[in-house]
Amino acid sequence: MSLIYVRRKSDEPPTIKIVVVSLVVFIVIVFIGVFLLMLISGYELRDLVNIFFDYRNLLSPEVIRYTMIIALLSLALLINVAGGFINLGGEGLIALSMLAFLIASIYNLGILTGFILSILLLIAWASIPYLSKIYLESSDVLVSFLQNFIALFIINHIVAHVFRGELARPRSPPIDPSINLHYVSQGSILYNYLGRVSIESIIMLIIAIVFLSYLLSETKTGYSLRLLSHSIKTASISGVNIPRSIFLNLLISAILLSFASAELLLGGERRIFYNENAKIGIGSMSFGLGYVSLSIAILSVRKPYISLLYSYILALGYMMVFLSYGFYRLVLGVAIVGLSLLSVLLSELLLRYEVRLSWRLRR
Amino acid sequence: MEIKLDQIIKFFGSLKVLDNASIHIRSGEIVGLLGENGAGKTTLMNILYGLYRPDKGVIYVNGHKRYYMDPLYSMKLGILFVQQFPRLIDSMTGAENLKLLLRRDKRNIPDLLREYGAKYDLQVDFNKKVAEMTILERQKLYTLISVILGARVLLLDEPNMLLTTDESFREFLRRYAREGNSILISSHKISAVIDLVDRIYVMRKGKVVADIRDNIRERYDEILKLMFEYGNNRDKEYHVVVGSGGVEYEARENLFKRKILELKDLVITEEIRKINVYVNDREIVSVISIAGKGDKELFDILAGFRKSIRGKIIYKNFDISSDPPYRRVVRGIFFVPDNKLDLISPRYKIREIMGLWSIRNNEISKCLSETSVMYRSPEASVSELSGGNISRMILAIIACNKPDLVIAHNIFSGLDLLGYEIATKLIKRLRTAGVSFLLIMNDYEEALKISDRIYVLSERGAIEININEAYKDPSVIWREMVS
Repeated sequence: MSLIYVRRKSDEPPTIKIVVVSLVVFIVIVFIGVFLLMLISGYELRDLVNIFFDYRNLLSPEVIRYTMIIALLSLALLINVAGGFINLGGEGLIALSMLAFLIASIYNLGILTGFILSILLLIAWASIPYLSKIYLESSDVLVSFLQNFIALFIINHIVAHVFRGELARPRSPPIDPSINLHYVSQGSILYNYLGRVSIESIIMLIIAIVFLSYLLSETKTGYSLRLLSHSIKTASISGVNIPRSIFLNLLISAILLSFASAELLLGGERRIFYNENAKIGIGSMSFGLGYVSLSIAILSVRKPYISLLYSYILALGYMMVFLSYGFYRLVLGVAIVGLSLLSVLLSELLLRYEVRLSWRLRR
Repeated sequence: MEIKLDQIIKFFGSLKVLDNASIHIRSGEIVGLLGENGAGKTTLMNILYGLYRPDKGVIYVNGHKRYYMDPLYSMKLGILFVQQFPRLIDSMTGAENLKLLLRRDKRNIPDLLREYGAKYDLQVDFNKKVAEMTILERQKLYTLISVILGARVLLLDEPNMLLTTDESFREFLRRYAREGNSILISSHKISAVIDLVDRIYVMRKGKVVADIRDNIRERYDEILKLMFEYGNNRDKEYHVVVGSGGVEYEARENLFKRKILELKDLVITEEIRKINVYVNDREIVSVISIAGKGDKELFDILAGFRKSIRGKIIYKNFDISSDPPYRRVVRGIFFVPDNKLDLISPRYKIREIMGLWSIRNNEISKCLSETSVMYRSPEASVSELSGGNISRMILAIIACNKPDLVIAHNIFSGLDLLGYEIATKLIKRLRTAGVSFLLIMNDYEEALKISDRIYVLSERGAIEININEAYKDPSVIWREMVS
């Protein structure tokens, strides 16, 4: 008889250890996995080497842009996780937020109104699984998962029938140029790195990391938010105003989600695409973005700034997909993102868990 | 089964919580593990069961050497651990929890319950949801589940109330040991175990300081001295100032000269008639009840976790019957549940829990010294604290928070003799400063010692008992409880 016993360590590992272990595990897992996959699928090894070992890819504007998007989305879901709300509907929320910007564009409402509309829409949408969990004891995971598909279906429908653009293929009209963020100018030395990332998002990400780290570990409001994840009973007899905590949680999350969505929509093709293959899901988004960001959120809930590292790792994974080509691109893409995620999960296991093996012993 | 823990050392951070602790348990023995709060009793049990891994030392199971245990392996061997706050699934009934733990064992649950219930004569309601059970009921439930799971070594962590209030449980333990099984009971209450055990180990500051085998019943004072003797060179890492009293208590203006809380015709269950109880300002009132006979329901209704069938709760002249729990707290009521982990989350750091109650970082040390809480550092996790120290921490929060009214269910549970002394003094001091108390208790002796007035909860409702009469003849309380 052999037994595996896994126990979470009570002590939090130091940051430097997290960084080193995460990167080493990522390199080992992803690179070995991708090498094997490419060899099986007939990719030329030389092409692979060119993709992975070209240092220019590691800090390319697209990698940094994706890091920003994943990090903002992760932090938005992190505050949910800290409050005991496992939100599997990240992609649906991003899509809804995009819809808000599209409406602001079509009716010339301006970007600020777009943000306000997005925040209100996201609070209303995300409050359904959260409130039903707290007051009806339903599963937040299941409800948000179902809501994700509903949201994507709605957006697909709107893009195909309500706000359809002028082109034959269903897609929204382009976002009005007045709805825009600010970017680093082409002449700047930073352009080669931050050329595709808006200044607003950079500022928001920095504020979010500092704010969330401080809020969750140093303030009474943060402790109250976190207490909801432990037990509603404990929270209520500790004097936590549960409706207010839920609202605050959803508000912070909605602000960050709106920035992630703005970055994705306004820094990219500036249209929402209909996904005609899947019928659900929209083409403007990379697959698995919500699930990947949720995993990062869960892993970095104790140290929000770690989400930046994990986001970078996952952004590299996505970038490998974008840089690959040919028939196996989809398979490769799923595998790379999956392997990136696996590396993050394995790092978590190595860093925060004690794993023991016991072998057969006589009774 | 024979178990030996040899020279066990365990650190929490830099704090040495076990210092070369050795114990030996033989088949058919009931062994007591006595010590004050934070002496290391629970940590030693956690190591024996496999929840913690020792930093040094060896465990012998039937002579086989092991450097550490793990819970699955312990369960396979028949070592079962009934924790002070048993970890059961709250939303399930006792029978469902049993089914979950039986895993691949396909035995019929009702047959098992009938068989073991009849064999040991232990009254456990397996159809009740765990969330509705008191800690005593949960401990009893988990003990019986452990027996059904085939326990050959039963580890009982602080079952003090069960041992002092339930003779059938004591009888069960004696019988179970006679059948060749071993029982290790950790406790800080000498009277709870002294006439039950075959041997006693006394622990202090992580060390086993005595192994008492003969004439145990006559050696009460000696054990007491061994448990609580405070030396001058106490480990500096422990933040302990015995009976300090650093917090100042300014007497509040007596705003509510009369009733601060009044329960008017409150119906908590169909089996219990209307309850009419009041608490005056600066008064300590106890409601004594048999465990599981309305005490938990009463607390839950007062805290706002469930609605009463009928009646009103009037607090400072406001009807708070329909207020959610947090609003009651905001109004100045502090609730202490039976399960202390329902108030103090073990996932938090000490600093964070104190922060939740608006106690600033620079006040934490002063506040915790008020009830002599033993802790490594404010950054340490609450899960490092023993059950008794968590109880002390709650009292420290009350001391620094100074609510208007404290409603507590078994407020003294988990406290050792010193902790109890500190708690009673503190409660009296707080009363002088303007805090009122409604204490729902299962232990009538504790209630008699501290209360200004007492009620007894029975099917007839809450009956006020003349406290002077009860002092002279406590049987009036029992008679009323079983009426």
